[in-house]
Amino acid sequence: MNRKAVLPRIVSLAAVLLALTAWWIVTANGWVKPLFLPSPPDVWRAFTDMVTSGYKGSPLALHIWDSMYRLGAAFALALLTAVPLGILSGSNKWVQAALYPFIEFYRPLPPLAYYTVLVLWLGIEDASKIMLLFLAAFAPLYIAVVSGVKRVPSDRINGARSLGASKWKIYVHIILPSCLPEIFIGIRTAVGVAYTTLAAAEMVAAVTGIGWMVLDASKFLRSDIVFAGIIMMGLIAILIDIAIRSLERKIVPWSGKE
Amino acid sequence: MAAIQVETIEQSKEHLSLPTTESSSTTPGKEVVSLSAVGLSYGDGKQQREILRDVHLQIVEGEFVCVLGASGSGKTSLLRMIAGYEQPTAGQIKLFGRPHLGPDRQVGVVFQHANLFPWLNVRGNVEFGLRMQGIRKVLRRERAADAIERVGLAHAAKLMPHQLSGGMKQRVAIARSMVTEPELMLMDEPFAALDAITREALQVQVRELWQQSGKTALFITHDVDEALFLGDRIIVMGGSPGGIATEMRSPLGHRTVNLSETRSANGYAKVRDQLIQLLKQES
Ligand SMILES: Nc1ncnc2c1ncn2[C@@H]1O[C@H](COP(=O)(O)OP(=O)(O)O)[C@@H](O)[C@H]1O
Ligand SMILES: [Mg+2]
Repeated sequence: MNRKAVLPRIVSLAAVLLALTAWWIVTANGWVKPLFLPSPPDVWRAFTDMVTSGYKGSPLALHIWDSMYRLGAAFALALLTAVPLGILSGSNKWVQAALYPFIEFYRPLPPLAYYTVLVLWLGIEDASKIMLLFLAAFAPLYIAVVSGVKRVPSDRINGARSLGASKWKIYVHIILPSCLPEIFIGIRTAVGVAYTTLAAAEMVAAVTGIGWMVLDASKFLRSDIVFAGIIMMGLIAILIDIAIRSLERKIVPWSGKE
Repeated sequence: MAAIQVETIEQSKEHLSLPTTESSSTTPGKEVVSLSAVGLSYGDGKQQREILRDVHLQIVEGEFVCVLGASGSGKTSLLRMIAGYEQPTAGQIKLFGRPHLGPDRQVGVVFQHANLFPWLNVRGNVEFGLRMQGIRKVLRRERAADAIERVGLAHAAKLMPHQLSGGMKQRVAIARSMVTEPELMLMDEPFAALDAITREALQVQVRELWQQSGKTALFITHDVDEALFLGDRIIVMGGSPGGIATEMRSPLGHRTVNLSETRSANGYAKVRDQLIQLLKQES
């Protein structure tokens, strides 16, 4: 990495350290009540407590695992449905015309508004939670794939046909790989949206999950656990994004260089 | 050094006196391309624009035909119809004696912009057509490696398109089309964006490949020298709506080994001037 790329990172790191220091000073001097802002050592202690003895009967790893399972299952479902439907819609205006009204209708709705309906339909177990996250992830992914298909240069398809590719092979060998950069953009948005919906999904009838943990702790005014949970959620989100980005670099190294 | 002997004179439609050699007049072969009264309009209703009108063109097996014309004269449109990407709005196109329905693997296309598949490396791009035909991997590898070597890219087989220079990309595009051995190769100003040195090297390569394969080629260019060096027949496009203004047998057709030799051949300057005059008239 050259100096130009390193410098902004140093600035970012310095800003984070500065904020942490400010947090420390403010709480150590008792300028704010611990209920509003627990001190870094308190938060750290809440975190190590969770690591050693779990939270409300389940180890921390299980909370994280359950959340990741819900997120992962919902995301896998979204990927399996949004990509084929998106490719179909992008190449067939009738399919798109049939699907668009529904997607345009539910996409702007706040997830909590229809969550109760999902619970009524699918029960209070994981199914309704996964469905909620799935719906959150589906729309952005689908829309990204459709726009990706529409942007495939027509001469790329023509060229492939001149090389002997049949109509179906064009989908698999040309359209799908051509859309991969857009699919990745869709994946990152979808994961982000689903992740922000996670806490909402775990509000109802859950006894595990990091989203539930934070909500539960706030009922008991355990600011230290709330803070530890939030920081953890943030860090996990960053890790997920890093993972997706490195996958993206590996799978679509040509992205943006065409 | 090839001294071109000007022996016979073939008359073009316009009664231009163009010097030609005794073209090694083989008996007319099988008809590969046949356009009769072909016209093309883009758009419909008020937006409609007639680009080509009443185009007649016959190309027989083994010919190397160059299409010369100013930019906007409809060269690409002509090629796209022969490739099957556009349907003529008038007249009829036959390929290999059959009505032309759409893109076909017997008709290879090299685009002006290499149009490589960005997710495949050089080898993957060259193998693409063979893979679509369901050819076994071992055989595919072998044939692709051979094609890549013939365009001088053996060292770059594993590079991705975004890592290649413009000239390398065009070489890959040529190899990708040639490897499936289409009966007819269509090339749309493939070297227009390249520097003079690369262009000359590729012209020599294309001619060699064509000679080895014995297939038919239609090569579009706006460069008179390129047309004179490559083509045994040169078609000049012009008019509005466009069409074939005139055509001639190239006096030099494949008798010189490179462009500079072409340029210093007897009679070259005169033919070149005549072609340039024609182009000016038509644009
Ligand atoms: N898809 C299209 N729709 C409408 N007009 C087009 C289209 N393609 C080409 N044209 C027009 O047709 C004319 C001929 O273009 P083209 O065949 O590309 O010429 P050339 O290849 O000789 O430069 C131009 O005036 C161009 O604007
Ligand atoms: Mg053109």
